[in-house]
Amino acid sequence: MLSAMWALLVEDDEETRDYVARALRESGWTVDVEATGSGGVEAARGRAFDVIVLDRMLPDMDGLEVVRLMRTAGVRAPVLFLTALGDVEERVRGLRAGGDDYLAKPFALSELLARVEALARRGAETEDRTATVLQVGDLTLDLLAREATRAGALLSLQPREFQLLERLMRAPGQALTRTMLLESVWGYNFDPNTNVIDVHISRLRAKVDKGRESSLIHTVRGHGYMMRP
Amino acid sequence: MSRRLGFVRRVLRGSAFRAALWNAVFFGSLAAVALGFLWVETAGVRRQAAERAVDAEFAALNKAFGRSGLFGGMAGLAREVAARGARAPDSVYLLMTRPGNRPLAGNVPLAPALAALEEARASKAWDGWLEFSWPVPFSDRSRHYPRRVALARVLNAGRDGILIVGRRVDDLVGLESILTRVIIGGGFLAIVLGLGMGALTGWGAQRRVEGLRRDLLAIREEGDLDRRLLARGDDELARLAREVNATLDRLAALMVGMRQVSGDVAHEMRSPLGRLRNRLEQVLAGHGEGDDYREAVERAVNDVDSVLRTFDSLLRIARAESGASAVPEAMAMVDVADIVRDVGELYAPVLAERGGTLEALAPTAIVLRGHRDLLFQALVNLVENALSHGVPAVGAAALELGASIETDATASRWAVLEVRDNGPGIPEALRAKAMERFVRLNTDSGRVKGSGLGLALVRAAARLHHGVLTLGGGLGGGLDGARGLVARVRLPIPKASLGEKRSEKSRKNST
Repeated sequence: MLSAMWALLVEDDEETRDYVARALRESGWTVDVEATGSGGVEAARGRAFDVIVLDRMLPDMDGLEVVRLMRTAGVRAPVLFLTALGDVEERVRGLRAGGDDYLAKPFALSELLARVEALARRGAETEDRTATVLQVGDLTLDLLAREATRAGALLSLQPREFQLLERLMRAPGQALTRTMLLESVWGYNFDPNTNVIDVHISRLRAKVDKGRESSLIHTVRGHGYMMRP
Repeated sequence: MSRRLGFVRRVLRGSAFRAALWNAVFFGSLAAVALGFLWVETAGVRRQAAERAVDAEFAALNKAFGRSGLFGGMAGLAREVAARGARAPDSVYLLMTRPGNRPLAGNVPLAPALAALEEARASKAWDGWLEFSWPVPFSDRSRHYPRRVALARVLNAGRDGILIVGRRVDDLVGLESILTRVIIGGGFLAIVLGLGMGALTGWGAQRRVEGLRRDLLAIREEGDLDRRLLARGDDELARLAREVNATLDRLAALMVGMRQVSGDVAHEMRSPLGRLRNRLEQVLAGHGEGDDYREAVERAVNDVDSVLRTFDSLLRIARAESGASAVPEAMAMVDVADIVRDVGELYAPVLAERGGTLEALAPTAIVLRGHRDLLFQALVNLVENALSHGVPAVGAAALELGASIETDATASRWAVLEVRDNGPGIPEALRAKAMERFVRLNTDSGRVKGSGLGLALVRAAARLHHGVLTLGGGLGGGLDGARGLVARVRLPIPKASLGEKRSEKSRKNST
């Protein structure tokens, strides 16, 4: 976690608000809290937050409207929607209105924290998006040649394994949940009953970490997976 | 009384009556035109003929008289008039002195002719024609028209006389009078009959429609979905009534289904929530400390998650079942072959880890309008079902996924998505039931894990795309060669989408 990260939480339900705010603070975030849409817009204009967590259903206006107002006012912070409306429809609407991610209630806290962190990082490190080479420890990923090497030795990866590795390497030190990996690497939003992602990760580990001095792919218990030297 | 009045008012406002009214107006006009034509062609023609005859006679006499002295003066003319009058009784002659109007010769009575002449002279725009009539002599009363009518012209006979020459037109006038009566009478009759028929049919139709409306009102007010409308005969109203009945059948079935589902859901939720409660109570009772406690709470959280997942599936199924109108933003052009390959690629390692195989055969692109995530979830459900229940007792599990296009007898194209396994399969008798909500089939090992919603979601997804889910026998695997399960989702490919090659791919690159 870098220096003071500011989060704005706009949620009218007191219990949820306290619960989420505390979780964020325990993870090192500094959190401002608002209970109305208009309050949220005002707060967002007053400070450059690293991430905004926004409830879809607020007493004075729809969360979509709040985002539109924020964007019109020049607020560029990434926005994570929280909502009881969890279907694809609403997700699409939320993203179209200017939101960046969408989490359905009830959510696992680990999921929220992981996504908030991913959003904040995405906002902060825009220069990395144009990089053609990713590096974590002695693992190098050449995005143009689609090659991965560790300690100079070429790894033979299937295309999907490469994509999975790339996703992990773009967020070093950050926990990525299984849902997030399924979304960004496979591009589907769905609910598997089995541990299908775990199988893919273990195959990747066999190629990347097995027989090496140090492991780069870590399991974060209760959260997901992380790439870290 | 007012009910009768109200009924009459409704009939008058009814569509059948209006149609009959327009009918009456149309046919009345048609009849008027036809009869008018008839008039012109009969009476009109005959009048013209009479006028021409009069003109001819007039011209001849005028010419003859112009040669002065031809007839030998007034006396001679009178003789000529008398002779002509006797010769041709249909012609009309009258010679009078001027002034004085004393009759000299002729075959018509003086008074009516004179009266007509004076009246004509008094009028400014006199065209030289006279028409006058006199009663039929008693002896000839049998003729159909009660008066004799003459159509004549007037010429000056020298300085001393006036000659009226013309023709008798009583039968023409009689004809005209008959035609007039026919036209008026016929028109009136047509209108009356039209209105009468309109009222009659209107009343008949009104009564039937009223009957249907009353029945529907009763159904609506009482909420009685078991009542049906009376549908006799084969006309549109009867067909409409039958259609309404069929709709009511469907509604009643849906209501029953809904009640069933609500009951099922409530029933299903009790079990896991009951277990959860027990577990939490045990935790409260303080069995064990520290790690035990933690583990118990973790399991409780998992239980809650499982319940939430069940609710989530139920919601997805419900949304899929309400049709595409409920999820317009989610429907887009998708390549289902892609989706099948993605599912295959996702689960292949899982099979490999167990020593089994997964093959996905989806060589050609199949593009149609669909719900990408839902179709993916449906295929995932089928694969996960196969992973848990479709495993052979001995040997390795083999899964085959396929996406192909079928053309049926009517040249319609269908996308066929298949998941085939080599496990024990589902007995034919249980296949229909297996697709219902909360149905879990017991295996030999006893109680089956899972929510029982997997196939229900696949079926709902198929229906959302106007397709079907069928279950059949699959790959041979066990000792019995026909075992295994084939889950087949058939989706129609509408003609329009054949031209669309573009398929919306997901964002495959990392965020």
